Amino acid sequence: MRMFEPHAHMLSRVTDDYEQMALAGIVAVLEPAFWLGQPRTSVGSFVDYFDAIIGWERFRAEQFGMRHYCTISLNPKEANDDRFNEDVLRLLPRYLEKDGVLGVGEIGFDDITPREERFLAAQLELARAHDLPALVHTPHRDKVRGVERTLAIMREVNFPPERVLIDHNTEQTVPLVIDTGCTMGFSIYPDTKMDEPRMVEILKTWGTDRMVINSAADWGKSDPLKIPKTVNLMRQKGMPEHEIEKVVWHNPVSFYAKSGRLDLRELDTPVTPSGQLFQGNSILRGPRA
Amino acid sequence: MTTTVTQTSCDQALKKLIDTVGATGGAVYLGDRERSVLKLAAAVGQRVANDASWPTEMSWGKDAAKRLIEVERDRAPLTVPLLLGEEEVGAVIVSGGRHVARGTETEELSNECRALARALAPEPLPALEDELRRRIPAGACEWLKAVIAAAARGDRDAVMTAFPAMGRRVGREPLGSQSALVRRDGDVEIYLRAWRLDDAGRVALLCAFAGDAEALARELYFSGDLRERCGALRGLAVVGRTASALDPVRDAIRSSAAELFEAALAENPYASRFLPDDEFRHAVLKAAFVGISIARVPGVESRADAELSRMLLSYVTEREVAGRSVPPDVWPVAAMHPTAGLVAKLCGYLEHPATNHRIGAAQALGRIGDRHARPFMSDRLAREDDRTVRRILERALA
Repeated sequence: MRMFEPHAHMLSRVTDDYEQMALAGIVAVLEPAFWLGQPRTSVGSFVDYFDAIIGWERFRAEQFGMRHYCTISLNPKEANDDRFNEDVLRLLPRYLEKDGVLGVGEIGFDDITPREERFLAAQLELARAHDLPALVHTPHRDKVRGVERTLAIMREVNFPPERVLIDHNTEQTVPLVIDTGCTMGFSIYPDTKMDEPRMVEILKTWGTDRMVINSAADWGKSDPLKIPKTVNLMRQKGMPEHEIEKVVWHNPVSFYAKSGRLDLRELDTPVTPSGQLFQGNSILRGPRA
Repeated sequence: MTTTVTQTSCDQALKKLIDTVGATGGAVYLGDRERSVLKLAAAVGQRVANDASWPTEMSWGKDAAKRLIEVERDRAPLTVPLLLGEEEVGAVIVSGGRHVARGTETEELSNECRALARALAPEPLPALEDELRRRIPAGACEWLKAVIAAAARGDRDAVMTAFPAMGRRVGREPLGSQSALVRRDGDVEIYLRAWRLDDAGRVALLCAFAGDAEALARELYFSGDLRERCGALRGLAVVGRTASALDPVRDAIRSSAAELFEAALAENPYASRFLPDDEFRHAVLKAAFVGISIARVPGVESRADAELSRMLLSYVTEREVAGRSVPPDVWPVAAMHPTAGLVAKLCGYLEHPATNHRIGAAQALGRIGDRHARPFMSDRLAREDDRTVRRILERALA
């Protein structure tokens, strides 16, 4: 079964991950812009990061036959940093027009501060201006309150819910989001957030409409194979194939197709790695033809 | 070529051409693509044949203007195609001139016609708009028109946002044009054959920009992805006027991304004009190294010097020692300032099984004119089957 991974920070992963993901049936991956684990100190660091996820990382993914897309934003955590938050906001319009950028994200809340509110609203406006969907992160702490504030701000700026993916949901947040029209993301993690058995239960309880799952793999303890692993469990628990395919392919694809920039024919065409160098670099090692 | 031609520049160029041929009159016809006709653009003197005036329109069939060397015997008119880049944009008809000989005179005549085509070429912006209009959907055209208008108002932000969006809006396929742009201030042709649709759109924006387009191109390069960078580099060919935007060229030349390197150097007169000698030589050498024909570097022959010749020959030797192939287009360039051993090597390559090598070697030997090479050239000519090689050798030995 082909799968679309709608949330993985591949820049922090090794090439073995790409290889394993491709073998498991993941044909496309979306990399949301986020922080780096280590806080940034200047706007230049964002420029280099954005350039990396629109260029270098795409090149890396293609070496393993995988399509790579991204979303671009000032992340919630660093929205609090006055050394560069305004500068990053000014940088965004030109990045939001780049090829392969399918949305604004991750935006949302971390500590639920006034600054986070301001930059969330401002970036929803940018999403509107660039006709892009938005990927919204929900906080690890005080998650329910964070989801409520997110939905409130969406209403305040009148942003259409069908163009929002609210991510990292749990059993507690599903009832808040299920009737809003937003797409709901679930990050399947080794220890925290959400695991495979809980996920299958949620899908059985609430159905598969507008539900997507991801690994949210990053530089922490995480597992880029969580989508195929969850698919296995869905099968074991008797979910029909078309329902599974809806969650791991049709839902994420149709959500990001709202950007108008996801070429569905391209998705159906296997990537053939060109073997070319990317701006002078190659991750190919050993003798080359 | 659909824009209005400035009558004086056309008349002047035509007069010069008539003098070159020693003719009594001539006319310039420009093609109308939509109607397949040639329209009279300028005329000097009359048609000697029947003393009649020039027809204002004539059919533009496939071969109508392609009879380049229809040498007159009895003061019959001579028709020469007008070439812009590699595209035929019209024809020049010259009445009753002297006999036009083979060889140098023909070359001179075709150079004059090229100069005439350049003088008649539209400005780069309308030329690009015309190229794009014929190839992209109406919706994309409307969008492009709006952002070009914004650029013409000096709206920098609009250009900054339209630049990355260009590929999605107008497409990324090859432009497929055989034509060339001509800068009014440069009298240089900028070939479009390697351009893509998004390159053409991006360069159109830079051409339209009311402000420092050179500085903007530089900025767009450093904030761009691979395709945007190619567009900015190609833009410099059209809007670059000083050496102040050389940084992007240097960056691209350092890169091993073939697409980027090609946009910086191949058919890009900006790099050729402004790169200092040492950097220019290394760029040419790297072109040969990465497999881009050095013949695509504008002005490579006029800027060639003994040092470049030495570097190219040394590169050739290195390849030969490793048992690898050598690009044939290095020969005519190396011959501009021949270094020791070159003539002997060229005599050897005259016997190469690949036609391109024989062509390159024959051109180079013709250029050097070393009498010691003549026996080898005659010897090859006696056995040569290829028409092009034969023609070059005959001319060189004449």
